[in-house]
Parts: sequence; structure tokens; C-alpha cells
Amino acid sequence: MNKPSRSLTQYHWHPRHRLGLFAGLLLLLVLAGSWQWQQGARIQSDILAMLPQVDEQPLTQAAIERVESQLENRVYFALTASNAPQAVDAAHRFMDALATQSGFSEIKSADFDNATALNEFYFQHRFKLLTDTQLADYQQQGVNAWVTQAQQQLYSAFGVASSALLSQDPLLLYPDNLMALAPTSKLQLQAGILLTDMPTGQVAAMVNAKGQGSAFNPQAQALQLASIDYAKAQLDESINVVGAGTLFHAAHATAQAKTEISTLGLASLIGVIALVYLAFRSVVPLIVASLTLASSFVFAFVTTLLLFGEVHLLTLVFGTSLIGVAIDYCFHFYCERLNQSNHDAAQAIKAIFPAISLALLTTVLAYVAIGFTPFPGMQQVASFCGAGLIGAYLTLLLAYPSLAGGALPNRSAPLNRASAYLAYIEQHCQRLSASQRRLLLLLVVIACGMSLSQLRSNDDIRALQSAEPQVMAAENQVRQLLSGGTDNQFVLVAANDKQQLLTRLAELDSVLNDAQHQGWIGNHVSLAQFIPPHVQQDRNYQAQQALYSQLPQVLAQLGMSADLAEPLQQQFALAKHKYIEPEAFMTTPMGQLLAPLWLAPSPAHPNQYGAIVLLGGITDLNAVSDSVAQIDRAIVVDKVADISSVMGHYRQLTLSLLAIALAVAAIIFCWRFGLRKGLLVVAVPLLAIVICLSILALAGIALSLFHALALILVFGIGVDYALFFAESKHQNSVMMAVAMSACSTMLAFGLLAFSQTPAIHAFGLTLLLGIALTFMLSPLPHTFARNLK
Amino acid sequence: MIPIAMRPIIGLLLVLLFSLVPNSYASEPDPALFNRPADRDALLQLTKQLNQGPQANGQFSQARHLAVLTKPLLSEGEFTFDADLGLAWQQQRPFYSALILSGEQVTQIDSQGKRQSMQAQGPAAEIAKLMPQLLQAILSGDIHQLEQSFQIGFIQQPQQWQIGLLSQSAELSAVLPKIIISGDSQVRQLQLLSDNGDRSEISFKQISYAPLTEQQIAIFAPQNRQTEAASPQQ
Repeated sequence: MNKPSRSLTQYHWHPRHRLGLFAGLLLLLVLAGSWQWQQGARIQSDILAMLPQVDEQPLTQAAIERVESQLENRVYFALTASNAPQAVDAAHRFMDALATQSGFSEIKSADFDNATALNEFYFQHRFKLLTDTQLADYQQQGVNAWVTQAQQQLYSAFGVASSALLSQDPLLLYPDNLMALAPTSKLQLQAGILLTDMPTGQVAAMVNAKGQGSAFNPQAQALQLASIDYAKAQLDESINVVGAGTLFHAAHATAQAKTEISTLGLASLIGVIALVYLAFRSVVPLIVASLTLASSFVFAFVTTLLLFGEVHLLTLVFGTSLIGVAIDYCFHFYCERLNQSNHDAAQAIKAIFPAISLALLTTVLAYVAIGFTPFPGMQQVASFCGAGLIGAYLTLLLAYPSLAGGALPNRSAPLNRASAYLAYIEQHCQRLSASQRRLLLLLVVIACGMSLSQLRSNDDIRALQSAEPQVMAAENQVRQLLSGGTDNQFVLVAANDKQQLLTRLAELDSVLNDAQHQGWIGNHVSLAQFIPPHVQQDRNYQAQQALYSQLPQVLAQLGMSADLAEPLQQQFALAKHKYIEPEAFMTTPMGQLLAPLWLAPSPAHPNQYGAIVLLGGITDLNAVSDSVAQIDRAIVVDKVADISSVMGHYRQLTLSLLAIALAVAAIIFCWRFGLRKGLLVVAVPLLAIVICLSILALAGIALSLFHALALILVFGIGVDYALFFAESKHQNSVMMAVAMSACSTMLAFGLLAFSQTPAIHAFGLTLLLGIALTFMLSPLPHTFARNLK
Repeated sequence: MIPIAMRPIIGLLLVLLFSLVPNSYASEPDPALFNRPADRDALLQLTKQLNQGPQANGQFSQARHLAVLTKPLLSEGEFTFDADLGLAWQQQRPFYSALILSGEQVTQIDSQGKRQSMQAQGPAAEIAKLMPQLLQAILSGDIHQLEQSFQIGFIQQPQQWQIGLLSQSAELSAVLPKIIISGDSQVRQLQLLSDNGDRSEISFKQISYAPLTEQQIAIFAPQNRQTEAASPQQ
């Protein structure tokens, strides 16, 4: 049993040399870490950086990047004032103040204020334009329908009918077409500022700006928030400013993560220190424990920096749980020393060496399994924790012989309590007959089976972020004022040539108008209305042909001068081969604004045209997806759903990894301990995991990837405990070490269960349950094994 | 990326673009009217005199002189005004059509009885709102509202008076650069003049300040104006 330890623990190094090696290693790591930091390594708090990669079609990927680059980092403000002039003034002042600060670009209120250019572009094409209503009227009643309507407009002193327009467009068909190009909106424009009336009778001015740098980047975030505060300070106190955008969610998440690291981390640290002091009543173990944690942290942090070039903030949050695991070795060592007070440090290390080596191996294997999930953030957590444990292990081997050799106060109380507990368990176990035990096991299996059948899963990525009610309320208010805004889901249409694409876009537009009518979406932004396909333009031209061929009669009917007819007919004839083309439209100011919606073919795919249609105020995405599916090669792209399904995939993968890890552990243990004891040892983590899942199911908690990842750690720690018992001859010292370890781990993980971030909460809660169960189950194999003998 | 609020600009622009062509039909108003700043006290005196009650109704006749027309367009009808309910402008000849403004809602009814409602935002509604606002301002003697949007000229003679309104904002002056209101003991005429010579003259007859009849009130009932919620283009 001591064979493997001899080669490692009895090499000829003096403890002082080992300490020197340890100090050198630590110094090297600190230097490497500082160098990395100098090179620009940072703590990354961009949540997106830890999300898994989703494989998409090239066109879809291009579309997603387009939409993200347009919508990302945009911040919206509603400035409420008691009347319109005040709101306009406040908006101007706010925008000017924001512009003097850094952090934002593209600060504006109205997206588009160059109607003149739009009119210039479309007026030349007026013979190719008809609204749906105009076309329908013509199809039902011919040119007469238009004449009747023109007559009514002529009589209105307050309408658009003026001599200049009538001489170019005698039936006033064009104005409606130009108006139709503007999406309906309740917003009004005053002096370049978008205004909207509020139910309270106040007026809100809408301003938006693009944040420079990711909203998830703490530096950019702080800069942007400071600029907003400055701009707010320039306003009258009566002006209320409400903001919406990722920035505010991210700022809240960052603040929360920072608070949680400091409060949960500190609470965990204090708890562990108190635990050590109460158990050993000596300052030396406390110092040694602190050293173990510190060097473990240096190993973890620097290794992560070296591997990834950055450390994610969430890694640090998850990483606080490392404290609980790293301290295990320290506890195991001191409990052994307490138990065998005549042994020195080297002998104690020798005694626990097989157990902690096997424990490190299995736990690190568990972390490696986590590292296999293609989640950048989770890979970081795995390497952070894995490296940290190796650091703690090396500290024990190299530093403890010199530092932890001092005598301990001779205290038997904790050990006695541990053996009393063990005796109590043994006594109760013995009371049960073999058949009773089998019955109990059967009952547990049935209960677990029944509750497991209730287990649900929820892989929605939105569960990653907590929704702070105040931030959500502001967001909803601004969205409402903007009549919906734009959602992250959009429609992508593909085709092999331009006209085919434009035809599909036009078909899609009527589908989406229907959807809007049904209330499934609030609005949509498409190129369709701006660039009708040639077929449609020809159809409109032909309908107007009926008018221009009998123009003199129509003019006479309306009482208009006959001189108008000839130049108009000439213009009409000239327009026949002039079409509204996407390229020409994209050069107009409006076209430049909408250009991101057009995906021109790439050199790799010369025949692939694509167009994006933005959706806003979605209430029923499934219904929209179904109706969009009627159009050839049109799909709703929903990255959130795609990531969520990837999360679901990796949840299943992680659970499979867990099953494989259990099987491998079973094989290793059976090989080392024999079939019966091996199976009993592996039963500890197995039962802990199964019961933990059952409790989650009973509590109605939907399983996510984060629960699954926590179970991997439960497995690793369960293996630790079971091994400590299986390998050791001194059951009471192991019981004490396991109790202390479980307490400290639950202090660390259990505190994570109090996190406001749903993902971290799920992780912490699962571990809390899992470790508690492991703790209760871990002495049992030993008890059973003894009873079976 | 999202052109949220183009509609208001486009409507005003339409009128602006096509009102720049000069022509010969122009009939110039008394230049003195727009060159003389109003004597505010006299103006207030006049509006007080004109304000005879919170409601009014009467007949109107309108002549539109457009450069492209061979002869002016003549029409007649009646108007009903109530400070709380709004304004109904009903043309009876040569065909029926109506414009009803109530609160923020503008409803148009055409000769075939087809109704279109829209929120009083956007250009058409903006222009449509102008007439009731003008009337309301004059009938209720509230010149403060007029002063916000117009530069006001005023000429008073023993038997009659003229108020000239010159638009202050670029948007409004594109639609209706000059407005002349004239009358004696009552408002008699409203002239709308555009720079290209197009001209509309509206004359009022039989103005009564008596409370509205039930029939007149019924014009404003929601079922009479709110039939189509959608905007006219959709």
C-alpha cells in the first residue's frame, strides 16, 4: 500500500530544499503572472466570451454579425419633461453633453432626417410606384377610382394638393407612396428630436447612442456610465432620464458579481478560518491553511492567464469554490497529525499520500471532463480549479515538511466527536438486518426513480443572466415609448439572384404585415418597401399606363389645364426602362441607413444573395416562424434559441461524461479494492448524484448545464471522501477531515447558492445538496464493508 | 438603422417641394398687414368681442384658386365647433365629404362614405388640425396659442378688421405661409395663401353661438368617426 508513496516521499531531498523548490516555483508563477498582466491580460467580464460557439451557415453567420454590430452596445434614453419644448431642449443638452464625454458615438435622436434626398430618389420613379390600396382600387374600378380620390383632395384647402405637385402628379398618387416608405410610428419629430406623448401627460424625448467597446467590458462600462451621469447632471432636476440597453444589464451584472466575490468569498474565507481555529486551537494550522489557499490561488490564476490570456470574472466567482476543495488536503494532513501526535510532518504526509494522490487524480480528471465542454468560460473554470488543486497538493508535498512540523496542542475532543459519530452510524446500521437494508435501498431506488421521472430541463440562455426588476422596468418603459424597438430575432431571406431575392422579400413583407395585424410582432423593418422587384414595378407602370394614355380626358374631368398632358406623357414614356435598383438606393442617405440589411454575395459564394428583416415587439415567435416558413429560403434566425439548444446539448453531454467518469472510477476502484468494496466506494458519489437529482426534481427545479457541471464536482468530491475512508486505517481522523472538508466546501459552495445570478445559484445549490449527501453517505461503505466481513 | 419617424418630415416636405414654383395667379394681400406688428391690446379687445360662447356652428363657402385649374373649385358646407368636442367640417356641395377632429383623433369621410381615422400626428393630421386650431383660437379669443406659431399682424378699421398670420416655423410656412382672417362683428373670411399663388378663400355665414343640437353633438360620437383604426396607407 505504501509502495507508490516511497518513490515520491522518500526521495533524498531535505525539507529545506523542498521549501526552496516550492518558493522558487511560486516566485516563477508570480513573475509569469505579472508579465502576463503587463502584456495586457485582464479580468474579462464579458458574458458573451464564455458562451459556447454555435456553428451556423456562412450566410446566417454573416447576418448574425451584421445585426449584432448594429444593435450591440446601443443605449436608449427617454427624457421626460412636462412639455414638448422642454423635452426638445433637454434632449439637445443631453446629446451635446454626452458628445463632450468619451464612451459614446452616433449620439442621435431621429435616425433619419433627410427626407429631401429620399423624395428626390423616389420622385423620378413615381410611375413605377403604387400602394397596395391604389392598386386594389384600380383593379376594382379602373382609373376612375383614382380620379374620384384626386377630386376630393383638390377640394380640401388643408391638404397636399398644390399646383406644383398636380402638374407632375395630376392624380396625387405619389404622396401616399412616399408616406408608405415611413413605418407607422407614434413618434413625432420636433427640431430633429423624436418625441412621444406619455400616458401621464408628459412628453418624452428619445435619444440613442452607440457605446464604444463592449458593454460587458468593465472599463468601457465605467466610462459610459460616468458619461451618462455627467450628461444627466447637465439637465434640470425636473427632467427624468430613463435608460435601456445591454449596458445597464451588464453594469448590474458586473456590480453583482463584484459584490458576490467580495461578500461570498469573504464569508467563505472567514468560515474556513474559524473552522480551522476551532478544530486545532493553534495559529500555525491557520497560517499553513492560508498559505495553501494563497499558493493554490496563485497556481490557479496564473495558469488560467497563461492558457487563456485572460481570466473571466465568472471564473473567479465559480473559483471561490476552490477554497473549499483546496483546503481538504490541509485538513486531512492536520487530522492525521492530531490523531498520531507522535508523528512528524513527513510521516503524516507519508500516511495520507496514497489517499490524497488518488483523490487529486480523480478530482482533476473530473475537472478535465468539464474542460471538454466547448464553453470557453467552463474550460477556464476547469483549468482554474484543476491548477489550484495541483497547487494545493504541491504546497502540501513541498512546503508542509518545513512549515507544518510544529507540535499541535494535544486535543482529542474533535477526534472523539468524530469517532462517536462513526460509532453512532455503525450502531444504527447494525440494527438493520440485511433484508431491511435491501428494502431500504429498494425504497430509495423507487423514490428516486419516481421523482427522476419528474425531472425537467431548461436550457434557456437567458437563465444565465439575472433580470434586475428595476433595470427591466426601465427597459420596458423605453421599449414601450419606442413602440417595440428591435428584437434579437430576425428573418433571413436567401436567393440566387437579386430579383429573386426582392420578390421573396416582397412576399415576406405581406406575410409579416399579416403577423403584425395578428399582433405576433409589433413592427418590422425590411428593404421590401424601398426596393420593389422589377415585376412589381412593371405591374405598377402598366396600371398607370391606363391613366397616361387617356390623360387629356382625365385632366378635363378634373378641370385642369390641358397643357399639362404632353410633358407628363413624355416623362411617363421615358420612365419605362428606369427601375428602382438596390445599388442606386444604397447610395441615398436612407439606403446607407438600411444597407446593413443587404448581404451581397461573398467571393466564396458568388450566387448567394441575402437580406435581413428586423423584427420588433415579438409576442409569438413560433407563429411568426411558421408563417415565415411559407416563403422559400426564408428563416427566422434566433441566436438565443440556438445557443440554448447548444447548452441543452452540452447538458446531455456533461451527464454522459458523468456516467463515463462513474464507470471509469468503478473500474479503478474494483481493480484496487476488489469488486465488492470497489462498488461500495463508487456507490457514494453515485447515490449522492442520484439523490441530489431526485431532490432537484421534487423541488421542481429544471435541470440546466450548470446543475450538470456541479454534479461533476460532486462526483470528484464524493470520490475524495470515499477514498479517504477506504485508504485510511484511522477512521476517526478521516471522519474529522471529511467533516471539516464538507463543512468548508459547503461554506464555499453553499454560499454560491445565495448568488442572485441564476446560473451560479444553480451551481451552488446543486453542490450544497450534493456535498451534504456525500458527507452523509461517505462513512457507509466502510461500515457496510466491516459488517459484511 | 430603423427609420422610426420619417412620416412627419415627409409630409411637410411634400408640400415644401411643390410650393416653390412661382406663377402668375398670385393676388397679393395688403402688404401693410404683414409689415405692421399687431397692437396687442387692440387685438385682445377684438378677440374678447369675438368670443361669444364655447360652441359655434354655421355655413361656409370655399373657393380654391389653383394655378393648374382652368377655373376655381367652389364648395359649400357647414361647420360645427365645440371647445370640448372638437370641430366637424362637413362639405355638402358639390359632393359630401367631412373632416372631424376630436381630441387627438382625425377622421376623414369621403364621398362614398368611406372613413379613415388617424391619430393627429403626422403631416396630414397636422395640417388638418390647423384649421380647427385657428378657428378655436379666433372663436374663443385665445391669441396666446396663435402667438406661439405665428407672427401676427393686425389692421383695424371702423367697420372691419384683418388679422394676418405669418408662419414662424419652416415646417408650417411650407404648408401655409400666409393666412388672413377678416371680419367685422364676426369672423367673415379666412384666406390661405401659398407662395406659388395657390389661394383658398373660405367665407363664413350664419354663425350661431347657440348650444349645439343633439344631432350636431352626434357627429362627434365615436362610432361616427372611429371606424378604421389603421392609418390611411395600410
